[in-house]
Amino acid sequence: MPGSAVASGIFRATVGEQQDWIGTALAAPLAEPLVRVWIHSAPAVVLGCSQRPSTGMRLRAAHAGVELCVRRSGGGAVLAGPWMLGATVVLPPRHPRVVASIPSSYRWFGVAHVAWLREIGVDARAVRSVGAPGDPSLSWACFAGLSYCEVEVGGGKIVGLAQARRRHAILFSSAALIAPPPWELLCEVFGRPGTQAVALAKCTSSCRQVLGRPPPADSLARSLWAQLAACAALPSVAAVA
Amino acid sequence: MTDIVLPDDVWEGVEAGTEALVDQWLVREGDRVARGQPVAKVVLVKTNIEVTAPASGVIERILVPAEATVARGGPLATLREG
Repeated sequence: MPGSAVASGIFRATVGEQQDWIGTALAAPLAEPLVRVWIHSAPAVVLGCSQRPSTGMRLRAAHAGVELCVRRSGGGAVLAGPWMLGATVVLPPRHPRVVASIPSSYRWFGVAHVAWLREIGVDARAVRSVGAPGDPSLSWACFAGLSYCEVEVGGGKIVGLAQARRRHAILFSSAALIAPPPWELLCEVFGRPGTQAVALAKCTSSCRQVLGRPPPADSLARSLWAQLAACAALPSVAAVA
Repeated sequence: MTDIVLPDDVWEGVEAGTEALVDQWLVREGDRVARGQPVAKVVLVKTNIEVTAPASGVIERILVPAEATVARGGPLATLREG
């Protein structure tokens, strides 16, 4: 539960469990920030809130053994799994990190991810403005384009950001690639050709691609959590739950 | 009559020409709403924003249906106060 002693920390969970927790966290008035980093062992396709899962998509996901769910924040679809860390920061509406302007509100979150990546040796940067539109045929995929303060390495997107604003709480969420995802799986669920998987691979990067042999996911999750917890002004103690 | 709009300050710094997408209406025309009650969810730059009623009253007309877009300052719906 969001109000419990283990509300913040590092969690191994399905994407569905993650989304359920976020729903609970956003539903009631929030007194203190919540910071969670998520490790997912199974693949899942996470649609942006404006994307509607078709019957065909549901069938293809079931056939591929992939969980399919819709998140509360915007943006394109994400392929979650062992190649990715998810992060969730839920802030009270009057928290100093919450500002009205949408582009400005992403700044601290992007910068925190850059600091985390640089700490582990990945020379990342947060984009300052929206770049030229990418291939419109890939606009359904989160990692095909760079939005305000999202994070890239050598032109390849490595961290995607999104947000949801509710009366009681503000949600910041991120997806960070620690290894190259099997993009063909995402394309399969969307019924897209394999050429789009190749295109997604070309416009993205990951910790493994940069470092060769990155620290294990647990270690990366701890350092990401510590970075985000410091930004949200939480005591810096995290355990894997 | 009062317009329900996305607050102007959320648009600060957003690239000119960008529009917000109405993701979902939480009320229907004719519904009575209380001030501060969420009436719609709108997406702007990967951010899903809960739009609340600026006053208590009745939703007179929904001007931008779900899955349509609205430009900065554009009214989403009209509200008859009271």
